Amino acid sequence: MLFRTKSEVVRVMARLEEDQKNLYRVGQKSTNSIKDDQLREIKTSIESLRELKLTIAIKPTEEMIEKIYNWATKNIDPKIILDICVDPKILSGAQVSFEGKFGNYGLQPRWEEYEHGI
Amino acid sequence: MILNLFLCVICALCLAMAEDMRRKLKQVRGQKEIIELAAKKRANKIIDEANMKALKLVEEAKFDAENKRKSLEARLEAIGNSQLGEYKQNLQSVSKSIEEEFKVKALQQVEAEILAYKEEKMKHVQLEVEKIVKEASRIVLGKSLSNEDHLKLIIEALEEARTNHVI
Repeated sequence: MLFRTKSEVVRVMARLEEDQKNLYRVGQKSTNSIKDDQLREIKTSIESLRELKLTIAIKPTEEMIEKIYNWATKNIDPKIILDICVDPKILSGAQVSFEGKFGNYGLQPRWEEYEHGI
Repeated sequence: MILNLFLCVICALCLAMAEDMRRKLKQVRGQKEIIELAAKKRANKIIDEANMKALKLVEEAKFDAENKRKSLEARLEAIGNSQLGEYKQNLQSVSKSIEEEFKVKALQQVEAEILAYKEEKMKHVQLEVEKIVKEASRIVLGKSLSNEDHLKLIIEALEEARTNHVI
């Protein structure tokens, strides 16, 4: 798949839209420019992806994104895209949101239970 | 003739008598004037003396009144000074006692406030310390985990979400 995360989509789509504008600009040529229908097709294919929102404690490395993505495509749906947010407060683990459902599997609740016990 | 002589004598006597009477009258008038002048003089003297006496009396009365006024003022001043001193003394003693009472109360109040403030601050400090310790532990825990540990925990979280049918 071309895209693994939503931030990649945003980045690539911005670039494609910029190229599309350049296509119609007088005196400027871009080898990578795409047409409207191509861009629309890409957008449609992206919109059809199922979104898995994860909140994790650290900024993920490429390797982490790859492994999480592989796990998701294998266990949930091959047509999936990750929306990863970073919140150090959760300490570790992940908060998971998928198609209106939410689960908090971060370390924070368990840590708070531990703190109250101190 | 004799009669004429007699008449002449009588006339002469009358004339003499008239002359004498006139002289006496003149004398009497003179005396009267003298008496009148004397009386006038005496009257004037009496009036002058009376005036003098009256003036003297008025002066004396003024002097007496002034003396009495001064004496009265002096007495009043003395009384006033004495009462004022007494009043000041009383006032000082009353204000001193009020001040003392106020000081004691204010001191008690300030002490109570300080104690309450101290307790509150101590409680606040204790809570802050707990918070810092917890935050430090949290940071230490977060930093002590490697990327591999984080990835492992994320995958575990996903597995748990799948088990719970979140995904």
